[in-house]
Amino acid sequence: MATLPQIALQVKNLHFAYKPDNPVLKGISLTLPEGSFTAIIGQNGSGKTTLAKQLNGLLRPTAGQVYLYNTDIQHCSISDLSGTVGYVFQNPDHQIFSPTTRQEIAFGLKNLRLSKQEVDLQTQNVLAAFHLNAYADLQPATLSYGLRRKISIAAVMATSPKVLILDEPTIGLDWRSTMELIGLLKQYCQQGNTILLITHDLRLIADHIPHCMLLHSGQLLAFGETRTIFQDVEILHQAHLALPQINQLARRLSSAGVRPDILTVEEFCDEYRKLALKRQVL
Amino acid sequence: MIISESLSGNQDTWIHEADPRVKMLFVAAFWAVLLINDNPVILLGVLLFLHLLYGLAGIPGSSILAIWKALLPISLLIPTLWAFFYPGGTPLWDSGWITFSIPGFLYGLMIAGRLVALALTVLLFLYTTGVDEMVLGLVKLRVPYEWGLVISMALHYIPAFQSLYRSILEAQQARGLRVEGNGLHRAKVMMPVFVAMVISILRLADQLAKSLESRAFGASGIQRTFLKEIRFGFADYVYAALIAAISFSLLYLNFNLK
Amino acid sequence: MAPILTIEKFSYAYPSIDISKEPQWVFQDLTLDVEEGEFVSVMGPTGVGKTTLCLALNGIVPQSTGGIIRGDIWVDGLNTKSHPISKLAQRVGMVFQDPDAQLFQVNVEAEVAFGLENLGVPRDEIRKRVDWALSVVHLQGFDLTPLSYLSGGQKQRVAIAAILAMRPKILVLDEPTTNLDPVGKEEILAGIKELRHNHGTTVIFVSHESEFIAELSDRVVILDQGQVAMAGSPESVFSQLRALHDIGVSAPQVTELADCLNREFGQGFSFCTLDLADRAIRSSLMAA
Repeated sequence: MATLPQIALQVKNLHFAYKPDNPVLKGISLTLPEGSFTAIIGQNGSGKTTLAKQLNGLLRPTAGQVYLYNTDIQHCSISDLSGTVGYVFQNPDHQIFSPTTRQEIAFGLKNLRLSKQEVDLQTQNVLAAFHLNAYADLQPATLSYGLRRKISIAAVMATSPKVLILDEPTIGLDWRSTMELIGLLKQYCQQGNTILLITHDLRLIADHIPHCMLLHSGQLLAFGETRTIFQDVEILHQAHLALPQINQLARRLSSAGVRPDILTVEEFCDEYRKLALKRQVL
Repeated sequence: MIISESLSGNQDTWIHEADPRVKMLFVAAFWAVLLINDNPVILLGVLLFLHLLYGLAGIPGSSILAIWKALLPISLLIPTLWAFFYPGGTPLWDSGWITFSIPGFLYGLMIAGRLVALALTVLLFLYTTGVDEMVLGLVKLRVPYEWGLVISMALHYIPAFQSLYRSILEAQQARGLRVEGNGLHRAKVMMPVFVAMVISILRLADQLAKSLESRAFGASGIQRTFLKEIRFGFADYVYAALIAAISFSLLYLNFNLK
Repeated sequence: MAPILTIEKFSYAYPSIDISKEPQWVFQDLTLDVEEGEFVSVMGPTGVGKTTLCLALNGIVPQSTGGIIRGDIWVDGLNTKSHPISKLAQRVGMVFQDPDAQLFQVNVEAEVAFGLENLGVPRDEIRKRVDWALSVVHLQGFDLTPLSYLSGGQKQRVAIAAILAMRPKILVLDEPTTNLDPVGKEEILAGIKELRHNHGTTVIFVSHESEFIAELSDRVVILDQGQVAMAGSPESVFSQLRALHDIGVSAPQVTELADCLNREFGQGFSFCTLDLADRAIRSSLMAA
């Protein structure tokens, strides 16, 4: 018998405003099961980052609650929460300060007040897992952007947070680094951790991220499976988000009989086979 | 304006229109007068005159109040300190080692008043002058353009550095940094934030330098031109004359009134 | 006619702190020509040196950065090693990735005028060019707007206007859309398209936006390990999917589709843009 996954994160009717007459988040409610991989999409200014910062205590709701594994986090300090909720910021240079990569990765572990042996061991593991051994004793600030990005992510994941939030981690990364990162994140999810990823890259989401939530003007317009949400062209258009090229192609070819809800290359291939067989072209 | 529109009232008065060099003259002249002056009546007169100018420049009362508010602590501290430490004061109780001196208090009051006047003078300039005007004014006064550029860049990036500090602090807090303690301990704890800030600023400086070079900044052998123009009008000559007249009168009065 | 840009056996290493070590070459014997009016896109894995290459085009590399340089780069007949950067900057205009590290003047018109002021252009000419440049990027009327009021896309458009006003022969855009949100990205890409079609400017476009690159480029150059790994028409370059993925570079999604269809059905598709894909698939399905 399958057991229901635990609820990792729950948000109840969350409201937030920096200034009283200017609400940024308006009544957001959602539930994230443990082990889920969810993308957060929405225009700039829709409240994505503001919502994400409510989840690790950087910002506190003006109304509503946030529950982390069924515990209300309002009385937890940011440093308390940092052990369970990892937050990778958009700009890796806002995090990186250590003289060596090794120390950068150890920083979060040290803040958890672990013993020296534990810190060293875990640091070694993380360096190996992220293929950073060659750079262990180099100064991260002098390395290329792609490496700095990787190091900042490794440093946050080093503390094995059960909930991992990443704010636009793939900006400026080339294809290979993006694929490596996504692979790593999927693996992390399978180990029972929950991931929230803020991104504008709909192609990436369509190919790799099963769940999705759409924010617009501080409200949750949609939350569910990626496939379902990407069907609603109207809603995506409202949020100024362009669907992956393959979907645009499918829509264009709908007059030739192609279904307009295709999201990946594989799906298109299958559809092509069906149509071609039907027309006896193959 | 150098100080943002929302605070400076976003007006276009004759004070705003005046040549920046005239306004710089005003600051220099009044600072000289204020620093030399030791007559409280004259000081009061100057303070009232400054408030009049603020009103004429259309600067909202809330901004003026904010300046007073910011200077209040030090305006109260100085007379108090002078009162207690000025020699020859009357003892407060019979054992007699803490003395309170009325003349001391009054003298301290005047020093505080002078401080406020100095601040108001320079702030008036900042409220009514645009950064580009100021830089152009400096260039016309034979200050090398690079200096003006440094000033305008600094003014542009200060708010950026404030938000950079906040972002970096958040990023480090999210990794478990606990902002705690005071003085030296706190500084040690905040090291990750400071270092990351310095690195970011260095990186910014490097990128900015490349951008400047790509736009032919520092081209040798070329006489730099300016899109904006400032010209001394008849009104400016009048203002300059008035400033000179008022300043000399105040100094004369200071030395001849008791 | 001589190419407007000639890169000949260009090798470069940044100055290293440890002089006893072997120089870390960013490029080795890089060779590339660009004709006037061409739109050349440059792609490559992060860290390969795309920005270094851009900086080599206006002389900042090596004149400001130092280091070891071999070979030559000629821009409009001028050698980048021997002419002052300010002179090269009149031929090569460069827009960088981060608008906040390029713009710092009090308002839009001051920003666009900055380069012209540095060049000693007379005031009325500056005025004319500022007005023209702002109209090209559709920011007319924004002259006195402070930069802090602008969105990322608008700021980047100001950066482009500031460079266009200098009337460079070659426009180099180093990842101009990477830091922008989708709205800003669209603005810039549309603007670049317009520049291409209405003004015939020679453009060197460094980016990861493979789909846009496929649509607009005359030539695509892929850099890898300090060399030109691939160069040619978008169609020829993007059809080599395996090679691109080995290097670590993305390709338009429709080329992945073409590859998939070819592998499964042996159809011989080779489209790299939405329009070409549309036509090719449509006609193949009608061929019954």
